[in-house]
Amino acid sequence: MSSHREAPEISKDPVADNTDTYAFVSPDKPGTVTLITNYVPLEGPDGGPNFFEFGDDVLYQIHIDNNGDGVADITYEFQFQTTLQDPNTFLYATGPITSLDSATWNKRQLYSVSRWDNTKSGGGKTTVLGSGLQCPPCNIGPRSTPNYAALGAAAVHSLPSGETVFAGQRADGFIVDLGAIFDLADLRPFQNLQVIPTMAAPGVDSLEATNVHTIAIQVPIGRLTSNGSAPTSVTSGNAVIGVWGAASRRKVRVIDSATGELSESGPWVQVSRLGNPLFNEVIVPLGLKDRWNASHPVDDADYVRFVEHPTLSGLLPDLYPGVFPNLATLNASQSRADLVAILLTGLPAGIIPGFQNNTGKVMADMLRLNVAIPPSVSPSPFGLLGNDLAGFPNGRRVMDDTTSIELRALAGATFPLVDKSFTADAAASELTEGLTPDPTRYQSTFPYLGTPHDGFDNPSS
Amino acid sequence: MSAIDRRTFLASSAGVAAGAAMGTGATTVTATGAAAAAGAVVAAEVVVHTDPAAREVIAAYVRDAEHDVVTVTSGTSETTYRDPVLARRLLAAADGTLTGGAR
Repeated sequence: MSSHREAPEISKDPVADNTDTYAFVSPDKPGTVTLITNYVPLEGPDGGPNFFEFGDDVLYQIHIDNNGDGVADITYEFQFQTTLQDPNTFLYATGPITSLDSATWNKRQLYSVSRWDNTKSGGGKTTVLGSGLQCPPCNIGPRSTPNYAALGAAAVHSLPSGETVFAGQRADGFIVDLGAIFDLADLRPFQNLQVIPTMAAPGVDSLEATNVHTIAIQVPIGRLTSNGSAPTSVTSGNAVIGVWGAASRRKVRVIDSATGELSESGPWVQVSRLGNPLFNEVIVPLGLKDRWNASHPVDDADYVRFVEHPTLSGLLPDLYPGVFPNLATLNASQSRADLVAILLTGLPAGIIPGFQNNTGKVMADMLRLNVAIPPSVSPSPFGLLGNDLAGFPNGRRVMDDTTSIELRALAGATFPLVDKSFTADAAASELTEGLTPDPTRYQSTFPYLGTPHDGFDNPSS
Repeated sequence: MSAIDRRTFLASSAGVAAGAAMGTGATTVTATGAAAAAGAVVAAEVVVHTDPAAREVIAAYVRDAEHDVVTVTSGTSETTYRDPVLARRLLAAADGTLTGGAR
């Protein structure tokens, strides 16, 4: 998955598990950038009576590097507080929840949003942008949450500072065929060519009825760039920002044996981070995944060798005999400068006409978004590989099929960007899991991820 | 201890050691402040307590016993000291010898 349960330790800590990070120029408000981080993987919509929620003991962060050094210059921080209206019932809802102030809604979450600004003008100060902001409830079913879309819309908050925020349950937008990809990198549409062949079949959309908990913030572009402007030139020196999400826990936790209550102490310690989808999941080896989650993008030079020689690229010629002969030759002869550029530095100008998202020499895993590139009128889920400059790896939109894009890149489809003498195998640019997500998983307005699936209608997800 | 006044540090570290134990288990170990501040080896008294853990815990742990390195966490900060007295008192508390006998 993108980063759902991708490392041993964080797979045991779902509320802190950053599953996806997105950054894109807002299609309906092109003067803004939308930043999204998702947490709590694989939420079954019927998972009561304690339905899914954010962690009160977790610090959620969205980091922005606007000068290319791999260090955050601006950080948005989110902290949650859970309240019970009636501790004497086990019920999440004691009747229909028709608004965010319904007395029938028992267990609620409020949150605060802060902005840490370490730019020259910001001076390292933290400003509370909003507090007491309401999350929507989870989508229980037609009796408990009869008009969920209205509840979700009511939980979109405009802040005096210019940002718009949302935090709460949404449909997971990530597209993947889990059962196949983790079964020796099977791709059902091509499994007749696999080393253990079976008849080709359509892909299975594993997350089509699962939810996540989303933190989304829409920010005026000038609040993110290094000089406070909204650049209009793709080659402008301040046009590219780096973005990653993270979650941290306090260093010490004490469990009281008499009450079961938790107490905490010490500094926040990062336990999850996510820039490019699948980086920790597919690139970083198992023995280093926890360490990677605790480290920071500026330290990613330690992982360059895994980008230059990715495991999955090495396996594809063996798993699909005769399909990837050119990739096999590439694996044996060169390191993957194309993947280093895509994932760790951004693509410089001159490679793809009208495009660049390079941030310099510092190798750091971040989504790199060129904010001067306007939203696409006809977005392609294959992003840059589909000739859509507004899509991944130029940032990442909620509907980008990043699994297919990265599979194609790992198979060699992007190596000609750095070596025109290389001819990618024909299959490389055809790789897909064969999935077309239901359009209701997305919406055209903030927070762009669709209404979460309800528990009544999705009882076995 | 080069950058810290030793008397001041010992006074504060003794308090931290006591605070560290509060809220972390079923027993609290205390030592008189004056004796601890003087760096004297004093026996601790084992106290059974029933009060809930403090919401914010002050915790101390021996990071490196061989080199007497102790880390103290409080609020959202932590400080790491090299302090033989504090390290040895915590180690003694851990193996039960601070009270003069095994646990």
